[in-house]
Amino acid sequence: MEFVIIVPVLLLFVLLTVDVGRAYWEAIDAAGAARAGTRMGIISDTSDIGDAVRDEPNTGIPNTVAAWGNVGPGQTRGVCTVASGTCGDPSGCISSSFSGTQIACFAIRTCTLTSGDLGTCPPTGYGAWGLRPVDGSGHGLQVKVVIKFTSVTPALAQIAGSASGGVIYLVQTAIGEELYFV
Amino acid sequence: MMWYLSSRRRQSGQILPIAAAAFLVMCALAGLAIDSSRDYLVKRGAQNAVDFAVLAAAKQMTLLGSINSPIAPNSNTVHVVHDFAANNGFNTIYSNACDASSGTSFTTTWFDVAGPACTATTGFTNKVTVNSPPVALPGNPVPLACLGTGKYSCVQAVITTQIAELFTSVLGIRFAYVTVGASAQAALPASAFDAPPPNALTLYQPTSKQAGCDFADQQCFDESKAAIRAGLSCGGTNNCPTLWIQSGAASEFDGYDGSVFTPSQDLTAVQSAGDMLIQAPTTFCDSYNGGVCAANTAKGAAGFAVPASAKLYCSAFAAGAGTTPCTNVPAQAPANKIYGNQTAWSSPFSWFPTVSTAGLHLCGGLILNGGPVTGPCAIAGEDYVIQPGFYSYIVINHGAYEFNAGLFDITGTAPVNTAASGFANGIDHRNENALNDFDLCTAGTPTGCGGATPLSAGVWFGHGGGSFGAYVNPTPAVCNSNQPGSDGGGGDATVISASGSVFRLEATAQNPLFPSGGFVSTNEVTSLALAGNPIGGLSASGGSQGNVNGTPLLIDEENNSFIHIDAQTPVSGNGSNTISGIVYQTASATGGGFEIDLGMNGNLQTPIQGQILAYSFTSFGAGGQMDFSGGYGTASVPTIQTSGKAEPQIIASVSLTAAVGQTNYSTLTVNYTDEWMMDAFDTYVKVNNASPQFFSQGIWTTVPGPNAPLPPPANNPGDQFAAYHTASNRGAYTISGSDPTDWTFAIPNSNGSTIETKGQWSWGHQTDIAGAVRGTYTAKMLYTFPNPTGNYLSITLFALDGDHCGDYAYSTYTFKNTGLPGPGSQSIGSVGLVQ
Repeated sequence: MEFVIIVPVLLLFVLLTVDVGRAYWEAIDAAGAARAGTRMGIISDTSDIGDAVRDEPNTGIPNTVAAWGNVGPGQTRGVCTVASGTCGDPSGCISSSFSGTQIACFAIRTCTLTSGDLGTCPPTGYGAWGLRPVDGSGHGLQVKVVIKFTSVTPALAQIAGSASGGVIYLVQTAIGEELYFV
Repeated sequence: MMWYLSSRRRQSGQILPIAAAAFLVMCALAGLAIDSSRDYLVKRGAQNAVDFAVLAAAKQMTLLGSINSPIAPNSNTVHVVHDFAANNGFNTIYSNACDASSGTSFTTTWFDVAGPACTATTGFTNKVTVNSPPVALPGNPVPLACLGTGKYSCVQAVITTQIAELFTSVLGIRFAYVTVGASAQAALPASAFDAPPPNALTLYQPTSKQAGCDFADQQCFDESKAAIRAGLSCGGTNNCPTLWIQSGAASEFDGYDGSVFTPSQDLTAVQSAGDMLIQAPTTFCDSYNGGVCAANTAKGAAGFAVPASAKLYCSAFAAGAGTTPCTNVPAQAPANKIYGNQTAWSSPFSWFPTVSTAGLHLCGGLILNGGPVTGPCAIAGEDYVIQPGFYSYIVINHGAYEFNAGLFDITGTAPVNTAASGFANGIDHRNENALNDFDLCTAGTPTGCGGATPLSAGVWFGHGGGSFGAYVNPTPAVCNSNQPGSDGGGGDATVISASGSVFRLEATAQNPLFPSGGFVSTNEVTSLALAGNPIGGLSASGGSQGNVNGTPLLIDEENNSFIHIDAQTPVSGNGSNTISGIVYQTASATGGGFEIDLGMNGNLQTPIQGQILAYSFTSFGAGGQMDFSGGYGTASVPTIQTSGKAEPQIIASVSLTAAVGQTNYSTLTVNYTDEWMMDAFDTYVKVNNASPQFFSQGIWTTVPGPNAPLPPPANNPGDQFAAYHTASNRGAYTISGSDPTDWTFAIPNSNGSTIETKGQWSWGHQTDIAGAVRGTYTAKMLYTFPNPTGNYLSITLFALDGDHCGDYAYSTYTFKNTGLPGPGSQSIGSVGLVQ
């Protein structure tokens, strides 16, 4: 009888632990993906940030349109190889940016460093989401990776908030300075 | 039964305390796992932050151009580490309180709170440390690239952050600290080097006597007297303008096209701080924005500049315009025309080369009359090659000699010959004459100039009338591990070549009793080819070759003497006389300058490819062109002179062009001609300080280890097993279907570089192949490699012909791949994480 009482509790506990572990794992991967995208973006203004983010080897998220939506491979906003082109999610990967089966999103934006500014990049100093730095003067590049994490345990879902439907958006960013310059 | 029932009662509910205990253990384990995951996530974020902080710092190091000393306190390199750590969530308060600079290292630390000691390991949330050079961290030794000579090219950032623990705090572990570090290395590219502003000609001598030039202390020009110079001196009755274009020496000065810069700069071709005496038609050309220079054509808005107090002794601005009117006084007749536009004067930027003689050997004085080089710096098997080092003086009266790459530091003045016959024991002036040698000796005597003052210099190349050693042909012998070398040279004719050589003529203070004089090459020299240090070369400190910080320097004159450049007009087909690189006279000079026969090539080829900064400038002789439009030595390739080596002309031409169909790639093309086929086994090219690329590497049967001789000996085919190239020994080559002699090798791991040879070539020396006959053989070698536009390149080329080891050409060129840097290309430097 007591076993019947305990098993659900234990199961819930184990699942909660697994859920939390999964969430951390996804968050760490998101950080790695943000780093990979930033690293690619600061090397040159024609290197593909999108591919670098999605191809981060440790990320368990497949590099598919189903997983990445309109910032997926081959999508207009998923390919970042044009210096003055737009790519990444234009809204900064807010929750409404996710649609259908999409579980991951990335966005990029640029901080223009004025003369004498070596990289403060204050929150108000960024341009719109979607634009990478172009050659010519100092810039900081921010890459944001958001993973839509759906918990399987009620407790975590409750922690995440009932309105979210058990969904947690794991957000990681990385900021680097462009290394190509004239 | 009772026992059974009793036993069942005892077991009932037993799982609850066990489950409760297990639950506590599981909670603890789960808490530990969650805290550990949090720690790892924070560590991942800290690693991101430290990576991007240190990369930004390395970028600043490339921009500052200094990778040979610890980073400076409070410099941009330090600031960006702070800023990019903060950008990525690791805020600290910038402060200099923990700066520690010893001259050999620098370190600083910031905290997010005030109060912790600089060495604190607790009591803060974030701590950021910068180390130059990097230091070992627990579990992370200093990367190899950041040890030894490369240590100051690296910078290290370290972040330590405190993490508040959620679950393990019940066990008393309230915080955990994670520390992450990263090191990045900065590399200066070939386009970053120490050089003066790119004006073709910059002259210091101030305006005329009336405007403040002090005759008592410095070389001046008195307009009331005719310009005159004798004995390499402006003292006494002599009278020297700042810029003097002598009658009959029509001259053209081509400036650098500053449109290739970002932002573009319209650079003044000629800047003269004093009076200019124009006695022959003179062209000042500003090649800005692709302007093509031509004699007697005013091109560009910034042809020349003089201060308001300076005078132009000229007849008119025949083409172009100037705000300074021509002054035409009888004493300076004949006045002639200026072709060029005048631009506003601004004081030139003061520049001086960085030269280190550390490690140079003492070589004594050299007086050469066609015999082998002697003295402490002579080396066996290289009897006619002069090695870098400290020299009291260098005199060459006869013979073919080559200066090796390196710094020649001249500390004294050469003696004048005192022997009436036999071998000269000093400078032999007897063949100099007034007709050809301007202000050198005119008396024609073997022991002097006929006057009281012995005419001398620190370096003197002439052609005397005394005895001389016999010319020695290179010995067809062992291939000397495939290194360029020769035991041939000497003889009567004075043939001077230098590749990658820098001549520094020390200041009087260096040796007050025997101060160094100038640098002279007389009109009697048969051939003169001096190529200065390649861009980026001579930058390793402490070497026996000297250090000029990568500057493309040719002559560095630190005193008030004259540099006199002349040579015989070459016979058609025998190449030309050229000097390439920067000719610099100290900005503190009060006399002397640079004088040249710009027409010493018969106007077939410009004799100067480079820049001149001097107290004064004089064009004498037949006149001609000074070309700096393409940068240092890029307007055309200097003829390779390999004194003592039988056929320097085996390389007919060298060019660098954009690769066909490959953006941001260049193709180096080398044209070969000889009476024997090109030995493609030994021929190589080398870009900057990269590894040499041998064309034969596709047939090497062994992979050479570090420091192994290249190409590998005993390769078959190769030097010991010479053979013609056939499809059966093609190795890894692709053979063109339309031209079976056209072989291409795709160099592995080289970003798509290829090396290609076509024409008439063999593996090894053709003379070693049975039945080989002399003929007229030509070949072409092409090396295609990544090269962002706008980049400077130093290319070393070694080519061997089919004689038995004797004949080769070995030289270094400097090219500039013109055009704006390509989008996104890294043109200033490169940085990379090394840990």
